[in-house]
Amino acid sequence: MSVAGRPLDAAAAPVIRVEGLRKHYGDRVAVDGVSFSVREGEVLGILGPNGAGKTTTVEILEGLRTADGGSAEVAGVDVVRDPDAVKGRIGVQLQASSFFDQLSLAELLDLFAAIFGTTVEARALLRRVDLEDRAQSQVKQLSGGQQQRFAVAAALVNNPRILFLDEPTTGLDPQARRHMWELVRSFRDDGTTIVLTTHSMEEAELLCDRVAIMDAGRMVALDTPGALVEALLAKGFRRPQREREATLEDVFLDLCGHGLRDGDAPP
Amino acid sequence: MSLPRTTVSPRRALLVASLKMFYRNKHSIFWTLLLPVVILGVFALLNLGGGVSAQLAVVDDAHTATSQRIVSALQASSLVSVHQGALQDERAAFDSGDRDALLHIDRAEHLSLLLSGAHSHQVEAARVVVDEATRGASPDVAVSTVNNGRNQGYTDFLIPGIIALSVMQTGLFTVLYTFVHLRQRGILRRLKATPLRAGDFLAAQVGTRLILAAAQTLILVLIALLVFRVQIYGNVGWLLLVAVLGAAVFLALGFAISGSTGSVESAAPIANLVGLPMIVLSGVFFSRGGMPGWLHSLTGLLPLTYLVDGLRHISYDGWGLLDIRTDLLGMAVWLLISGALAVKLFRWELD
Repeated sequence: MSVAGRPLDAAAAPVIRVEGLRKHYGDRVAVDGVSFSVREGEVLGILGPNGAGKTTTVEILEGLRTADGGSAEVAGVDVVRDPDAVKGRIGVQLQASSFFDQLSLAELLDLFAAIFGTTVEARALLRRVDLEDRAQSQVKQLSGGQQQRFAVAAALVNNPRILFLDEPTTGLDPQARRHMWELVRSFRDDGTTIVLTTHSMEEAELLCDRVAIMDAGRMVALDTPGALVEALLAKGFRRPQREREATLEDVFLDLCGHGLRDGDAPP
Repeated sequence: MSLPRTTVSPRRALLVASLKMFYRNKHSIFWTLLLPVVILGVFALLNLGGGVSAQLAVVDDAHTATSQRIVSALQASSLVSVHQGALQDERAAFDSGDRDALLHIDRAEHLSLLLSGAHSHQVEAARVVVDEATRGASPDVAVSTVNNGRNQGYTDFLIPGIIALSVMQTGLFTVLYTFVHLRQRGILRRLKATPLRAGDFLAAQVGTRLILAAAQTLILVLIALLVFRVQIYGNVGWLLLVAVLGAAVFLALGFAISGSTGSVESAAPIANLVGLPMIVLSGVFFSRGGMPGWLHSLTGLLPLTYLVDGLRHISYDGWGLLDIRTDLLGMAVWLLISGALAVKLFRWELD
């Protein structure tokens, strides 16, 4: 039973299997013997401070970087040996990436579908991420939240069973962040396996079945959010001060509402 | 009511997409299609070739006091440079387009002036100077006009240079800028996370720009013919072919350079460092004939020189493909070297 409140099939076969994965850049060790596995339909959150090796680990699994050692299998592909072969089988939303200017969202999805050797109903896919009314817009005309949702739509063109989301809510306002969470939940409910990196503990607690915490290239914890908290409490940890029942974010949402503000989006 | 969809190959989808992007980008249309026309217009209006003195052939078969007086009067003029020789040789020089006019004084002191059919300053100058020097001669000078290879003005000379310049612009500058921009924005990084092969990506980019280079050449040729009334002596099809080959050379060079260039800010100076010297040294606007021997040989190896010379030999001299095999070979060698470098140096993202 996960904290997110849904039963996980413990017997489900792992679709991602990582064993002693290593990567260094020059003298600096970025990933130092990381091992974990992700079951089908599971949402795994990877947390950690900047430079902990999260993005490098995920990029190796996505076939974007080569590993120096260890083994990693994603969707049946050995990504250490053949990183390119995995790209057609997964969906990725990347940090620090963008899409061609001068092409509409619909044209971009058609182009990406062609690159994946398939076809796509661009409008239906855009409807899925609440961007159907922006089908003829260009990416640069979208708000930050809309751009992130479009990046997710582009990750879906090949109808992947495994989705990698790299900090999908970083830089978004609270409304847009909640909207993205709804989206991730809907993919989870469809049975998509999701690997998500984030800096937001709230996001990890809300969305993830299990959470992996990385630091200095190593995996320092991997369990359900509930079990991780229990383990900490069992060590005798107590918060110095009882938290108030509401946070500043609750104040913000109370004042501004939960509705999406996509700037130039029609109401 | 959706249309039945069939899968399109990645290469074709990218080719169509980049043509669309080009068409929708006002800047790229200006730089690739309009700027060359503007440059052509400016140089044609200035008619920078106009300062060159007229080449006048003088054949004196009379050898009399009168004829010698005429010859020295002509030699004294600063508007013409006089070439004296046998009638046969000078007529041959005239016919091959090396002379603007030919004045023949036969044994009976009959004067005949042969003028090139070109509407150039030089022909006009030759006619005025001869008029002046032969005033009072009897009988009058028999003037006739013949179309020789000299039936060409500066614009005729300039057109192939401008075509070469535009082709280099499309290949070197726009590729370098576009590619580095795509990488800096992380657009290539996103493509790297798809099954797209680098070869397909490059092929689509190259295909798009070869199509653009051909269109660019065709537009310049049409404007040259219709607006500037330029004569194109060789085959326009060969002209297009050589322009497209030249585009391939500069595309490969552009990709080779952009392989290791991190930002748009650093791409511009590099492009200028490579491009500007060639614009000056490859005979785009002026003939390389006036260069010292060593510089002439050295600049003869530049890729833009091969392209300018190849195009000019076809357009201005009416040569065929076989006649410009040296230039074609030069371009082929550059294409092989820079093509190999482009593939070797290609990077989706810089680490």
